[in-house]
Amino acid sequence: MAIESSGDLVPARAAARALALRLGFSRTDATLIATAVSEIVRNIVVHVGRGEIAMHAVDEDTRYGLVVVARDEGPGIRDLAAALEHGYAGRGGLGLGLPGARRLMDEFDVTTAVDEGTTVTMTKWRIRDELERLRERRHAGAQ
Amino acid sequence: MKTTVAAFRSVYASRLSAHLTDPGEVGLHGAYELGRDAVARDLSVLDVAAVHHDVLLEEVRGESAPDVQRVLAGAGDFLSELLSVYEVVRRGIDEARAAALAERRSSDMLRRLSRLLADPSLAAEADSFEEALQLVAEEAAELTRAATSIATARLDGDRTLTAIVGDCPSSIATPRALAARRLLVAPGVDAVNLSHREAGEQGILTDRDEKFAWLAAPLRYLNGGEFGLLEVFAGEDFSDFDEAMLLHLADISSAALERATLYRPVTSGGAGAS
Repeated sequence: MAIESSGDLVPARAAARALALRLGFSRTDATLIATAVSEIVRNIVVHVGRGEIAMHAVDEDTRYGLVVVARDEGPGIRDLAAALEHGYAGRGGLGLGLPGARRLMDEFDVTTAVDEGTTVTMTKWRIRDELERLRERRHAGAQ
Repeated sequence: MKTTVAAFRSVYASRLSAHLTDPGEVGLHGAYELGRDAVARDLSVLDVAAVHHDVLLEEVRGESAPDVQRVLAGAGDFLSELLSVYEVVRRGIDEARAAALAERRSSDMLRRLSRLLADPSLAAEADSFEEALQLVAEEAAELTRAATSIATARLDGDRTLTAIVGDCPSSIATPRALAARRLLVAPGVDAVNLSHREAGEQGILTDRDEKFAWLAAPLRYLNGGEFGLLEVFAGEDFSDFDEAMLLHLADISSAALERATLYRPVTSGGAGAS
């Protein structure tokens, strides 16, 4: 999904929420995921101007994951540690942006290179309980 | 602040109304942006709750029962979306608080280490090497909040001194057990930190009922040669911070103990360990 303006926040959020609900995340978790996606997309729009975002599901034996990958070809982040702790706004910021998204997700990874761009990969996990796995095995057996 | 709340209330009422008329991601996105704005304007969660309550009362006034349910559900989603921004801030505060606690613990540890360095028992004029070793073992236990600590040092003539602090199963302090654990610290390694599970797999303890995590750092001369081992045992796994502290303690006490060893024959009037 291309990100070119703040108008792209709504479809990105909608896609994240829909995937989260399809994977069985609670409404609260779906809201947190949508918020994390908003912060990342907002970062791209405000600081780089354009980029792209993709989402996919991960299906493991004991858990489901929702993975979000956001890329841009902007100037990169010079001080990644500071950006992850305080955001682009520095110490006086509200802790939203990159650090905000990091705090809402279970896994968060950033790769960045000066003048080459930045890729943010973040994942939220949902544990599959025993009953759920049993149902899935039965469903698979019936097919 | 009253003006800020009034301005916020006005926007809140209009966006919530629009969302209830046409529920969907556009309205929820509006709530999220409103949440960012509320945080930036320093509005409290209580301000938001009061505004939500007021606006909601107006929305449901005169509505029929099914419509009230629809309005309440839609307004709940709207509020959750807004509050997700406060959740981000709350998690940030939790993180900052944890960092501040770690910082305070670190300062406390460094103060203790400084005091230890200044302790006369570790000074070159020390009469008793055993006393100095005991002090190091005590500091190791306190710094890492360990249940047990053991400091061992080999002196001239292969004599080994051992200082033990805390409740210690007899089996872990035998010469054989001490020697076996020393082998787990490979030459050149600064510290070994084994969790409960890893310590169990390595057979650190011979008492089957005792389950401990184990953290150890060698005591070394300035030339790099090892002359002892500083070990701590605890019911909970040791953190990276504990490891760093034990390593630091091992470094400074190694230097102090080496100094004490060098001066020892002069101050005690004879060679060898007492």
